[in-house]
Amino acid sequence: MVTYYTVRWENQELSETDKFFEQFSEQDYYKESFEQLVALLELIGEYKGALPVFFTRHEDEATAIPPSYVHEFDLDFQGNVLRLYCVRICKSIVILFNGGLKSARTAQDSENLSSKFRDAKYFARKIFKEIKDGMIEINESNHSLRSFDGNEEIIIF
Amino acid sequence: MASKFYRKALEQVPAETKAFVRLYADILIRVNYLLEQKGLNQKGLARLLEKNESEISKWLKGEHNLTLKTIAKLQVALKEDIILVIPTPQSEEKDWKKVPNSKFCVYTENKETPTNSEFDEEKMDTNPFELEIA
Repeated sequence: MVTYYTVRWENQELSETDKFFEQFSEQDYYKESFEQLVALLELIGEYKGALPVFFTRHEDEATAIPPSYVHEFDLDFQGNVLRLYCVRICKSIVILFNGGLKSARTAQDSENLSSKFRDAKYFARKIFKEIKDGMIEINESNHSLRSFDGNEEIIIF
Repeated sequence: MASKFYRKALEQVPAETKAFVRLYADILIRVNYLLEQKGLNQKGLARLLEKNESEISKWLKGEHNLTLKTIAKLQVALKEDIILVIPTPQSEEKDWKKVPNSKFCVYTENKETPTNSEFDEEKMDTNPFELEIA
């Protein structure tokens, strides 16, 4: 139903989203928040599609999940302390970044989150610009992205 | 049934009650079918769900108002769907314009997408990154 993309710095092995999963999957303290987030990714990815109602927590150019509350499905994430940054491209494509622990009122003030937030904004700006410039094309029915020359390997400079 | 008395009585049953009975019956039929398919009895189901057999018996006889949570537990224990909700049709997105002779689209205008007009590429790091399927 949804293809999740992620980003990987050119010189690195792990994608940004895998870094997030690696950091939080083994931590008992954030288990409930992490499990909620993973269940939400499954709900969006397998069952509901990337409906705008799931992507309401806009933070500058990026979006954070989980949203606070999804009225349509009566889903309450208000106690969730984790934020995973992403951008919703369309109903069938979401690009996930890294995320972290929201420990202060703002992302900038949260020690574990501020650098991820900065990176997420960078990724989002670059990606939206590439899309606007026609450098990245979107196949909604096939849930995929490709570069303007038809290449599925998309490198953004 | 042709009986006038029956028809009159039936007319007096609220639609809500009829819908409830029909749903409940469908659910019980489905659960019992799945139990049979999987070679499970009440005892086996009780063990799977870590519940008393008497409680499971109430579920399966319709003496208990099955909640959504109970149905979810049954779905997980039996590894099969019991109820399916009719999907809501979703509106088409109008942000993408089809590229001629291609399955692909290009972005047109999405008012919901926040863009930063002050974005100054000169000031940004220019580290390359790759977009890949997660």
